[in-house]
Amino acid sequence: MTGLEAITNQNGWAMALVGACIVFSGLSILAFVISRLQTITALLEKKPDSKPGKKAGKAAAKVEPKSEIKIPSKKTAPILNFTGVEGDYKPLTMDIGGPFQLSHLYTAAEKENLPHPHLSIKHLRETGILTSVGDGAFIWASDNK
Amino acid sequence: MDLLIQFLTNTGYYLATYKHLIMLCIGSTFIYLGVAKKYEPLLLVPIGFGILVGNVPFFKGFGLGIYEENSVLHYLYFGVKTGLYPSIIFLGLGAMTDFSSLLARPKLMILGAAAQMGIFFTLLSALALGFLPKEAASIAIIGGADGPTSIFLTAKLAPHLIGPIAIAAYSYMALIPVIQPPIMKLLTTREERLIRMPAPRHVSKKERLIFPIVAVILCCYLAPASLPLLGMFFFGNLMKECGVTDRLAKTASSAIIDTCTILLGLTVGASTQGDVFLTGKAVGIFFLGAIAFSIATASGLLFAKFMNLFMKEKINPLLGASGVSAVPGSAREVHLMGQKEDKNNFLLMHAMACNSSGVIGSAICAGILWSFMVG
Repeated sequence: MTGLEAITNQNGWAMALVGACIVFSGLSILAFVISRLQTITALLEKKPDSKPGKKAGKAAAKVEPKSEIKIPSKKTAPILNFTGVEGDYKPLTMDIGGPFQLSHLYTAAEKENLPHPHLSIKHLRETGILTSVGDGAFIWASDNK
Repeated sequence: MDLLIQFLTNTGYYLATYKHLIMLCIGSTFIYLGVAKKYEPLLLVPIGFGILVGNVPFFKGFGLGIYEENSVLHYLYFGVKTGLYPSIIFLGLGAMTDFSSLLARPKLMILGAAAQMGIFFTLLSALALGFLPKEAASIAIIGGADGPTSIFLTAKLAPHLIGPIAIAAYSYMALIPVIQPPIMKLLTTREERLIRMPAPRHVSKKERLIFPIVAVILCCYLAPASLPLLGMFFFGNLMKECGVTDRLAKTASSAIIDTCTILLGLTVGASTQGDVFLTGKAVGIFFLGAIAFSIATASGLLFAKFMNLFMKEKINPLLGASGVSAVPGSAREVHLMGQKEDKNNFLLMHAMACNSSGVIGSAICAGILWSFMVG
């Protein structure tokens, strides 16, 4: 038997149609899932960052209310309120005594969960509250007077 | 004297017929095409030599031939009959495949699906020509342009046709530079061939790692009969992407796949003997194989054009031609065709995405056809 009759007799039309539909739908579904993979992997990468830790909790408790963050120009006042920052940081160096490295001050500030240690130390240096004595060591300007 | 005469009557020279001589010529031609013309040499050289080996006449009962129990070739042929070699070859293929370009642009996967329409069209054509359903399914899978898949399915459904089907499949894969370009030119306009594809986005390691796991679950749950092929394929890919089994991935993509390719080619060639190959059926298989390849190429191209009717960002329709599973020959031809029109149009990576999709699609089709025929 040959020709269209042979195809009909052997159920060829159904096999071809159903087979084509299965392949198409299978690969289409796979393509859709692949297109979502990027979103899924991005979500997986975000998850560990969104969990609040103990340190972040303490820091949040100590942080003073902030104003809306703006990109500062050189002439404007500092974004954060550094009032009294010398009072927060100076006691940290009592144990060290004498000239100290900024990295020691930074580590001590992090241990005490002081907010924005990097910016605060930078402010202290720029305003001259911390002065350099050479070889990477610093002292408090008020102690030097 | 009697002893000498007995010996001489057992030699191949005495037992040879015209069929053996024709097959020797065919085997030699394959070796020539592989060595001199460099047409798929990794496949044509073992197959060609296997044809020479398999068509040496001998006295039956010596345990020499591939179809004789306890012969060496028979033991080696075990991997073909059971589908072992194609599965292991797919393991190596998976370990060599980089799915980044496909993951960057998942829409191209649908072009791989479209190109598999050649399989189903050929199924109908084979049934119309009078082939039995299992034979028709084995012939139809040639349209997937995947040698191991063709051998795998034929071994399950119509093992007596392994020789002609394997040779037809690999021959047409080697002739892709001849078959595809005219179809690509006929079905696309110059403006369409000039379409440039945007650069693919960066694909993270996590995506490349998750993909084989997701894909094997989705594909094999849909068509469980494709498990021997796709299971190994995605396992090989996982070994490559996970980063902790580099040694295994390297072995799979080199020593293991090369070993299986050698044994597969040699034994398939040796199984191709004159009384099966030099028949009307074999001629029909070759004719249908050409149709399968052509329809597969055309359906991929036309579907890409159809997709462009609905898409703001057009796809270069040439990519549809690389939806067949002939990696990387088909992708290379698409790239070259694009370069002919515009030297700065680089389609290779996008074409490889469609090619990879074609591998998955053809394996799924094999699983579907197997379950139709056996279920």
